[in-house]
This record gives sequence, structure tokens and C-alpha cells, in this order.
Amino acid sequence: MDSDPKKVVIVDDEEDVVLYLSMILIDHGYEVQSASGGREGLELIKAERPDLVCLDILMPVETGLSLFRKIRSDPNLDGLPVIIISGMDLSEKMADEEDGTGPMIKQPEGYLEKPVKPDQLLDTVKAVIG
Amino acid sequence: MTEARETKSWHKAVHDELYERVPCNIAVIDRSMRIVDHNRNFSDIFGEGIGKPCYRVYKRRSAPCPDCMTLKTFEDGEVRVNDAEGVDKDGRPAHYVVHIVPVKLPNGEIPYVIEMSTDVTDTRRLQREYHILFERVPCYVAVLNRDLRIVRANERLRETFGKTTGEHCFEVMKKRAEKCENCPALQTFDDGQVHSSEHVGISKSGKHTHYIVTTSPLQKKGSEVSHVIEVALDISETRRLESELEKQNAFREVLIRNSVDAIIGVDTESKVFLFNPAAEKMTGYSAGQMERRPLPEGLFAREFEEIIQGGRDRYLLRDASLTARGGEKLPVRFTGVALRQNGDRIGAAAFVQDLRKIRRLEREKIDAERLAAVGQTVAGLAHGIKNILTGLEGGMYVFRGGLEKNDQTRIDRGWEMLERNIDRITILARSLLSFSKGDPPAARMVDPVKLALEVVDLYADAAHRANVELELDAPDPVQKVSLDREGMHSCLANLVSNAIDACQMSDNPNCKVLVRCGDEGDTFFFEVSDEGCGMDYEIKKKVFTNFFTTKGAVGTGIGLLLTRKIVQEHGGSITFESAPGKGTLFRLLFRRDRLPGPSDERS
Repeated sequence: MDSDPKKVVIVDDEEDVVLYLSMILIDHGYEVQSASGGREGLELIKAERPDLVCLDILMPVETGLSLFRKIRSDPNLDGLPVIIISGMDLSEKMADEEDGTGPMIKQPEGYLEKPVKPDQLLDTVKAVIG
Repeated sequence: MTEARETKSWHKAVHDELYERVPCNIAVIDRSMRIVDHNRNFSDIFGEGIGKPCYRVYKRRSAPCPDCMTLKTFEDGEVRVNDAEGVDKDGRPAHYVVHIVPVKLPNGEIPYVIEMSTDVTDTRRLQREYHILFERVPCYVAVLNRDLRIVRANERLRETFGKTTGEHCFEVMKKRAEKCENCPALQTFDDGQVHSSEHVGISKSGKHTHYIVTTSPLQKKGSEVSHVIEVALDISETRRLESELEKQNAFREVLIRNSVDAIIGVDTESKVFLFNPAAEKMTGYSAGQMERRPLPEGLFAREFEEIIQGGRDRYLLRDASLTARGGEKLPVRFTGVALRQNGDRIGAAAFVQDLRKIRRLEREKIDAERLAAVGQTVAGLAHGIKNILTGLEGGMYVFRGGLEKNDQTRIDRGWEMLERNIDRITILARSLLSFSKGDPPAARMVDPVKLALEVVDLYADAAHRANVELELDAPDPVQKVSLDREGMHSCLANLVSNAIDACQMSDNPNCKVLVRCGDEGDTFFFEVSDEGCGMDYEIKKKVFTNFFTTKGAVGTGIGLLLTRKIVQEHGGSITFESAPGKGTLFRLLFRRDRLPGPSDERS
């Protein structure tokens, strides 16, 4: 890990959430970049080619779900794992978010419901990218 | 001799007098068909004719008539009687009957023929007129003999019933083999009087034909009735219309009796002539009590009286009240119309819809909407609180990490995060207090343009700083609306503030925010549109169902929820249209008849 830190991109419009999640991950040896909206998030992901994306769902202008679909449909980002971190009730997960009109897409690799404890985040991130 | 001479002279005088005064036209024609003499009557009708050919004088012809009877009499010496038609001296047709008598010499020679003609022009005209009258009169006319056989029938009877002459009238007009009971023709034959009765016949095409028959005797004075003239007036169309009218009356009667709305009819003196069962149920008065009596005082709105008095032709009162017999005031929708016959006012009708059930359902609907809004709000709040909790969690983590590592910068950042999120939850709690108020809106009559202008003025600076053009578009005066002023001010302020933010987030450098208000039919609306960043599908789905903010840590995210709550408490609804990159339009819609009544009236 010392020689090859894993890169994580966090996309969330809540400044404090970004700061909190970044701190946890940085404290544990990850390299973190962040964006506050879907559009900037996609640009960042394309530029940085991270190992993992942590994504909020409800954001202004472009939502996390929209960004998630773009990630899944971009062949250059094939295999990029995504963890959804949202304040929404995730018991029904993404199925609830689908309007039924788009193509079936691969589910995210992990879900975390806010508020997130540091251990929960680390366990989930480790389970996905080690 | 003297006596003989006197006798001869007397004869001549008689002859001359007869010749001139006899009431017919006499002309003497010679063998060349010239008139050698005629009397004065002749010249009165045909003009002077002596020396002229008879055909020219009688008929204005230039050649003898074909089949000339006079010529035949010259040939065979027979007396002839002929019906002829000529032209009088004024060019008018003249009908006459002419006797052609030869003047025979003892040797059998016929040098002259005397034509004695009688003018029958008037008789013929009368005959023709009578014939036309008989044939064309718009009813069935038949002359019957004592056997009830038709001696003569007019055109209409022949056309409707087929073969007539010689047949029994009952066979022709009723297609029956026996004479009818109470036959009016037989009664006339019996007593010589005129009789009338109604009958149903069968036409030649098999259709039932209703007619009224009048039979009159045809008889010479003092003799028995030899013939009867039967005149039948076809009333099939009248009967058809009567039957149609009966059907329509029955239909209308069913409608009126079974209408759930009260239907009340009064004449021009306000006296009731119609009071249907729904009216009985609604008012507590029975139709029997009301019939031909004036309406009880205060039963209806004053406007109905105005219609009855002729002041207006129609009134529609969506929110009227009716005072029932027991004094209970019922909310009703009232329609009053003037009743007219051929343009003359004959009274008025009231149609009254009982709104109690509708009002209750509306209240229940508004309550249900409120409850649903509360449920959605709680779900949304949970989402918002989770974000704040994450911020608090984050603050603690950063703060603790700072303490562990003795990193003052990190301690400060963590502390700031804790403070910020505690502030957020404090603001949220305050907003929730206003949200939790379940009181009905404190409505009063508000000038909506003025209210919108206040909001536009309030945000003018903010818009200017954000380089956003903020305008109010209300070209026409708008009727006052019963609204909770503060509540609606908050709604508009929230929408305008959101719109300015959406413009700031947009790539469009010349964004505009437009506030409008006005009426569309029975609905009053406020409208806030922007040319800002717009919303995509997911945001649109959650705009009211989640605790959502586009303002990050600055906003509480409760604005739209509060806006919807206030709108719903007014019985209104909120809609929006949005397209990413193009902008958003929010509309607050209030049906005027659902708005709460002004509370200052109550106070």
C-alpha cells in the first residue's frame, strides 16, 4: 500500500461529508479526490481513472444515479467499482431508483447508508478493492 | 185591311223588341260566313260585326274554324247546340253556348243561319274555381250516395287512399268490409244535420291516418237527402306531435322527479308551480305545501328574486347558501334561469346542487393530502437529518483525529464541522416548528400582484448580485384572492430564491427569472420560471418527496416542502416543468372556489 496507494474519487455535494469520508480514507492510506456534482465527478473519474468511486445519490443538477449510469455505460470505465453512500433509505436499493425505461445495469458493488461510521466505510471499501 | 195592317205592325214591334231585348246574342250569318245582322247584346260583347266574317268577330281568327258547326247547318239544315270559346271585344276569353238555327226558304234553300249564343263565362269561371277548390282543398272531400259509395272524391283523398269512385267509403278509408259504428254520413242521411267525429283510417300504404270528419247533407229544398258531402281534416301530424310531446313530457317528468339536484319553478308572481322531490328533501318543505304559494323568505339567494322580477336572465352562484325549513344553512351551488315563452317572461327556474357531500369530500381530500405531505416530509426529513448526522460524525472523527495526532489545524476543522452541523440542525428544528403548525391558513383578501411585487423587490438585490434579471409580469389587474399573506409570501420567496440559485448554477450568463400571476378560468395561479440549470429526471422525482437542497450546507432543504404544505392548506396544488440546461417553471394553482374564506370576515 505504501508504494501503490489506491485511488478513490468521492462525489457528494455535502462539503462536510466529502471532508469526513476523505479524512477516513486518507488516514488509512488511500489517495482521495473529490467532486461536488455529477458533471464534475465524471470529468474527474475520466481524468484520474480511480480504483473506486464513492457516490452520493441526491445532488443538484445531475444526480448520482445519472452519473452511475454513465459510468456503467462507458466502455472505458468498464469494471470500475462504485459504492453508493446516501442518506436515502437504501433497503430498496437501486431497483427503486429505476424508472423502468433504461437498460438493465449492473448493481453497485457496495451500499452505505448515512450516517456512516469510519469502520463501516473502511470495511466496505476493503471488501471492494482491498 | 186596317186591322191586318195594325196586326202586322204590332208583330213587327214585338219582333224588333224581342230581337233587341232577348237576353242572348243573336247574329245572322250568310253563306259566305259574314254577319249580316246582329242585335245590341251581340255588339255589347263582341263589338260591331256587320259585314265581317263570323270567325273574326267571335274568335279573332283569320280563317274559318275547323269543324265549323254553322257550315254544317248550312249543309244539312239541322239545328245545333254547341259549346264555344271565343274572345270578347276587349280581348278577354268569352265562353258561350250557341244555338245554330237555319233560315229555310220554302224551296229548301238556306241563305242564312241564325246564331243565338248565351254568355256562360261567369258560370264557367265559378265551375273552374269550384273544381280547383274541391280538388285542391287541403283535406279529404268525398260525395257519398245513400249506399255510402263514393260518387266523387278529391285529389288528396285519391292520392292517400287509392281507388275511390264507386267504392264504399269504409272500404276506401278504413280498409274494412262493414260500415263503421256511429257513421256520421249515415246520421246526416237520417236527420239531414251536420255531424262531426274523429276517425283513424288506413292509407293505401298501410299507414294509420287520423282525421276529423264533418258530413253535410246535399239535398234540394224539401226533398230527402240524396247525397252527403264528407270533409275530413287530416290530423295525423298533430297526433304525432302530441304523442311526441307526451313522450317528452314523460321523459322530463322522470328527469325532474329523479334529479339529485333540487329543481324549483316559479311564475312571475314568485308562486311555485314545480317543486321536485330533491327540493323537498333539501329544503324540508313538501311540494304540497309549496304549490301555488310564494317561496319562503330567505330560502334562496336574493339573486333568484332578481331573475323572477326580470332584472336578469341567468345567475350562477358557485358558493351560495340555502336556508332549510329548520333554519339550517346548506352550502349550495345555485343556478337560476328566466323562463320564457315566445320571448315573454313566464317565470323562473332554480337548479340547486347540495354541496354538503362535496364539501366534506373536499375537506377529507385536503386532510388526506396534508397527511400524505406530512408522511413524505418525515421521510425527506430523515434524509436531511442523516446528512447532518454524517456531518456531525465527520466533525467528531476529524476532531478526535486531531486530538490523537495533536494536530491543531485538524482539531479546528473538526470543531468547525461540529459547529456548522449543529447550526444546521438548529435551523432545521426551527423550520420544522413552522411546518408542524396544523392551523388552517389565516386567509384574507390579498392583492396578488402587490404580494408578488413585494417578493420581487425583496430579491432584487440578490438577483442583481447574481447577474440575474428578475421581473414581475402582471399586465392586467387581478381580482383579489383569499390567501394567508405570510404563508404565500414564504412560498413565492422560496421559489424565487431557488430560481436565482438555479440561474447561478447554470451555464447561461443571461438568466432571467419571471414571476407571473393571474386567472385561468376558475383557477388563480402564481408562476415562477427561470432559465437556470433545470432538473433531470431523478431530481424531478424527488423534488417534493425528499428533503432536498441544491444549496449544500447553506440551505435547510425544507423550502419546497413548506411551500407545498402551504399551497395544499389553501386547497391548491403545485406543479412544475423542468428540463436540464433550459430552466424550470413552478406553478401554484388555486381553484378560487376551494380557497379558504377570508378569516377577517369571521373575526
